[in-house]
Amino acid sequence: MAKTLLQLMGEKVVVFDGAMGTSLQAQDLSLDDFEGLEGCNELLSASRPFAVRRVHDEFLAAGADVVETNTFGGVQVVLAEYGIEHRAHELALRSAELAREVAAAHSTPDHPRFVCGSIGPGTKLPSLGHIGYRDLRQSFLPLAAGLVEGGVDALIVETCQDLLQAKAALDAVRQAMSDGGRQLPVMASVTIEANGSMLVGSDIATAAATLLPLGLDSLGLNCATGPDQMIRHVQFLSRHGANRLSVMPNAGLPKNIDGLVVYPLGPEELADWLERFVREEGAGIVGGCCGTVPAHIRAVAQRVGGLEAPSRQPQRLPETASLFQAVTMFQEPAPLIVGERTNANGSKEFRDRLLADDLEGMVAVARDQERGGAHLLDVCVAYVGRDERADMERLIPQLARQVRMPLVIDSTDPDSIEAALERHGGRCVINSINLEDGEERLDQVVTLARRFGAALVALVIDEEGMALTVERKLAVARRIHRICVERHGLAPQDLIFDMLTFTVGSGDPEMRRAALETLEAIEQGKRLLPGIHTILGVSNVSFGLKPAARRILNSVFLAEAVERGLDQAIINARGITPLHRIPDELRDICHRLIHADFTSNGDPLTQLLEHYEDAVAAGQSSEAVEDLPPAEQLRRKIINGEKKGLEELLDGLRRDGRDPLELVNGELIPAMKVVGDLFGSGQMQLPFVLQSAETMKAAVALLEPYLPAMETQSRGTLVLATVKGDVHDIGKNLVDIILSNNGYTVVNLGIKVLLEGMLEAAEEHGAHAIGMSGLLVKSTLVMKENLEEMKRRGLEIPVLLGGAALTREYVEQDLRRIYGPAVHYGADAFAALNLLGEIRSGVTAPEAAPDPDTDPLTRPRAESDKAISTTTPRPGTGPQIFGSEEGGGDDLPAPEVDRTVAVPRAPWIGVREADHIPLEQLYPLLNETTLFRGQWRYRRGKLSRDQFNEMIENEVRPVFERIKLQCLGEPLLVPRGMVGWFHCHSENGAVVVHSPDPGGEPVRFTFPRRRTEPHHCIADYFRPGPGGEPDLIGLFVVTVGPSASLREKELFEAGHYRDYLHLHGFSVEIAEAAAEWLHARMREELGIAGGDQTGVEAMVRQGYRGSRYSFGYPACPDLEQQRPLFTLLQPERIGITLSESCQMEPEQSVSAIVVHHPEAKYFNLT
Amino acid sequence: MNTHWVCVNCGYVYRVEEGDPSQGIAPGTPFEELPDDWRCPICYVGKDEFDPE
Repeated sequence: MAKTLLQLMGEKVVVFDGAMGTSLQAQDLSLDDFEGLEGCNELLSASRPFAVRRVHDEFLAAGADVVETNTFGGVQVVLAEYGIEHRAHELALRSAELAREVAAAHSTPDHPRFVCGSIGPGTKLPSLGHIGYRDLRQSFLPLAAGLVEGGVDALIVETCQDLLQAKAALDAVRQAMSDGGRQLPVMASVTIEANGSMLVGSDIATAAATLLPLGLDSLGLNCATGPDQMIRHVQFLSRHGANRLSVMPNAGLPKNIDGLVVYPLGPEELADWLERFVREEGAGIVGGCCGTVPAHIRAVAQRVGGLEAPSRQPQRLPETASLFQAVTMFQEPAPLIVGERTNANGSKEFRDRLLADDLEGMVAVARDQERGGAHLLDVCVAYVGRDERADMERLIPQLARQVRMPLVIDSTDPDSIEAALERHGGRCVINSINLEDGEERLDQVVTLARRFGAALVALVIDEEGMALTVERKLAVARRIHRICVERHGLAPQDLIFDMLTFTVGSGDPEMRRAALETLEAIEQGKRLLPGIHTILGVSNVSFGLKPAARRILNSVFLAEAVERGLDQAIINARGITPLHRIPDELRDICHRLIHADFTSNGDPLTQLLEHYEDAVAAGQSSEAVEDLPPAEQLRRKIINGEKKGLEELLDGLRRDGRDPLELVNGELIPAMKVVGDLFGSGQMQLPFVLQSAETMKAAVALLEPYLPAMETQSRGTLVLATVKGDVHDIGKNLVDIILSNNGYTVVNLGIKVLLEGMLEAAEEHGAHAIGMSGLLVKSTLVMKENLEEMKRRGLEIPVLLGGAALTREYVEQDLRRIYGPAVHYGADAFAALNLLGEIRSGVTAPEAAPDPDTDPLTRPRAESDKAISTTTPRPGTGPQIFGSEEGGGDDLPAPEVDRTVAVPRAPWIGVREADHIPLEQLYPLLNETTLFRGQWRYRRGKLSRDQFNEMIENEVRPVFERIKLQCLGEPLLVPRGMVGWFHCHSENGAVVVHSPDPGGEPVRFTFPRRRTEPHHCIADYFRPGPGGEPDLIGLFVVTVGPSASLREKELFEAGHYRDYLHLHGFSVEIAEAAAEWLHARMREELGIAGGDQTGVEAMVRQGYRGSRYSFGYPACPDLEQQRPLFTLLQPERIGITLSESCQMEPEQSVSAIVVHHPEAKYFNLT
Repeated sequence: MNTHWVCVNCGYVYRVEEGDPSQGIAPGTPFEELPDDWRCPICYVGKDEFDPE
């Protein structure tokens, strides 16, 4: 018996043909050939069959195993553009027969040939509302039916641009096969544009999550780009795709040369890439798309057509998906939260908006759920008197386009569920099925789930009603599982069981075990039915109790359910209290109530009720805060950073006859001093200090109209600036915030300020001191030069210095030798505050450099808390203090470096702008440690782990989530980059980069050698020259653009200090993440990404091949080397410039050289 | 006793059970007992920049 296509795919790599359109165009057909419908290739199967036959013939002769039918545009919506939609079936049938004839002629027992029916995407995108699902599916039907009837061996839905379109095509294919009585292999192939997503914005993970549940025989990629830009997506499908992986690239990205479309990739190059995909990623099906001609297919068939079918074990992820992102059905840490407020029966706000037909308002409720931490969104529009189906039809397309969370379609009406599924391109969950009305109704919904690839929530309800006991719950679950898996072919992971829970708060003795039975059922159910997920409407457990008691009982119950294996919770994420914040006694009461323990320590329900009776009384006494003296309330507001109610309080105080100036000096400033002390002793984190400062500013602004003129109330004036050549703003601005909110006048001159500017301002404003700030090592030298000049001019004005590269020793020994005792080291903003206080009261200016350990002025915060200094250095943000003056080291012996390492093939040579860098792809790369603790300075310090985690969850993560969403919504951060690949060689501690232009000048980077053994030098990782095989060097520069800095300035000036710090830190870390992203892509381009480890910490530890070095860092501290890098990449084209100190502007930019040699890792020079 | 300390500058985690072989620190060495001139093996900042995980 003849081999089938699937059998062949099990044996060897199967080669598909190349481009039909390109090959037909090459035949110089006339308008007559097209019957006057130029460009309608599908028509040629009827009008000029020899032309189509010839294309098939040439590809088969070139060695293709499979040819695709000439039906790419055979869907009715496309043929309708030529007015021949009525011929869809006929043309498909004719095309299939034609291809079969030619394939049969080439087929031998040793080399069987096959025909695959081609189904292109058409011209309308249902996710954007161009066409309805039903019409589109109908439009695919005659094509699919014609192909099946015409005898194709398989069908491929290809060039998918919109997942909803793909679902409609696949739905039609299933229908046609069922009608035609033939079951054929079904393949799908998606098209990811150069920007990393499908036309409507879905990435490859979303495509896989959506299409895999539809039961595909293969899933792959075709069209849009050349193979080089497919790597990431191929790798994803290799790991998480279907059992078979197909790759059919274009012959490179098309170029327009003199009006002709030219595809740059040659046959051997295409074969190189596909061989790599076969060998490294396990692609078993390869071929070509646009621009690939028989010569390409010949090269591919020769190279890989004889290879054994690669073996792969892809792991399908249990995922749901919106149109934009895939979300796994479990979360670490558990549970996954299903937002419950978009429910007409559960939320009054949502119901009101539904009844008002306010679509935008309903979407707003959905978005609020996202901000509240929900992972999925439950949508229920069933409401008495409304047409549920019509409401689904209106709302779902809006949610599909505007919400990033996948949807849970909450309905019991199959028609409404179908209407919803027809309007969502991602993978939805259906909520829910049960056996209350028997199996027929359940079958109906499961069939829908199968057709649309949805996951299912199953409630343990059968003909006898809701299951209350473990035994009943498990019996019903088992029965539903059997029907879904055995009868309908669903995977267990697509089932989410709701074991149902009932209240333990009613006092009904019959129901005491309700919660316990649920917990047992969750645990045993997951054991009994491996692979399933579980979900629970947690808050049912506390129905009937007071809100405060409900919140606590729900929280304890949720924690326990998660421990027993609960994956998902339908709950208001904002209504959960972390366990460690619930007093032990209360936790114990809830625990006993859940476990129906009414014997060991009394009746827990009564105890819970009594506790909340007492709590009401306690609440009344706690309102006594309001009874505190108003001055004390004001003090607390400053310390706690609460602006609310400030105006009333201050008005009241003034009415009571308090003098406004005295309020500032007697209440506000002392309160800020407490804040400073709390900060200094590690009890208050910087962002909260800023919040206090904001409140202070607001309070002073409210009092301002009643205060005497500025000059008389000011405690003193400081001129403040970041020194020449340095662009770092934030440390200096933090000093400004603290000083100006403690009664000082700060003249903030900004960044890159020359000494002259500072002196003029000091004179003009009668300043009492000058503050100089700077992050760079070089800035410490600028400070020294400034002091030398000031000394020459005989100035004696006190100078405060601050910045990450400074040390107390340097200031108090080296610099005091120049300027004398009037120069001071400000370790942080509060140190600056103290110093200024001392200067104004005349107690400072010691005669000699004090011992830092005994100096009473500085000791309290001396070494431990540098937090309000400037940004600390790290790879990518600033230089190290050591090593910067190191250089050369030519006399030292170079360590052994493996010279046998092959130089990877250059992906291309020259400079390109990095493709669109999608912000949402950078978020997973963000390093939370450096963001939270480094940039934002929420440090654990002396806090317990629980206290710290509580602060992170309650104060930090909500900010983090909000800022992430905000930046997706408005163009504050627009990552852009330039990438270059160049040939190069090393020469005595230098890397000589060859110009990509023939005869162009080489560009030189010089690198110092490590002083101690081993004497590393970055140049050693490149092959020596000139002469011999050149090596390859990568360069890049990436930025978040200028908008972030502009917004930061606005926030700072408006007194939103905490937001200012948050946005600044976030933008810096996004630039870092963009550098990681770009570096990863460059490794992929080189083909050295195979060993990449995953996870943020692995990136920190350089868990990848090679290294990337940024100038200004330990291994290459010389910032001057930025100049050759800028010469080569010319990033000025995307708005990045170099300051005279070779710093990049915008500040949130990262530049680096990329080294492929496996031995290249970070090192320092000392 | 905290056994894991994170570098707030680069995110490296010092784990007592691993030590830091790159600077001759044996597994089992508590963070507090690291020499004063010990630096983050990734970004080379000092001990001050470490926070208990």
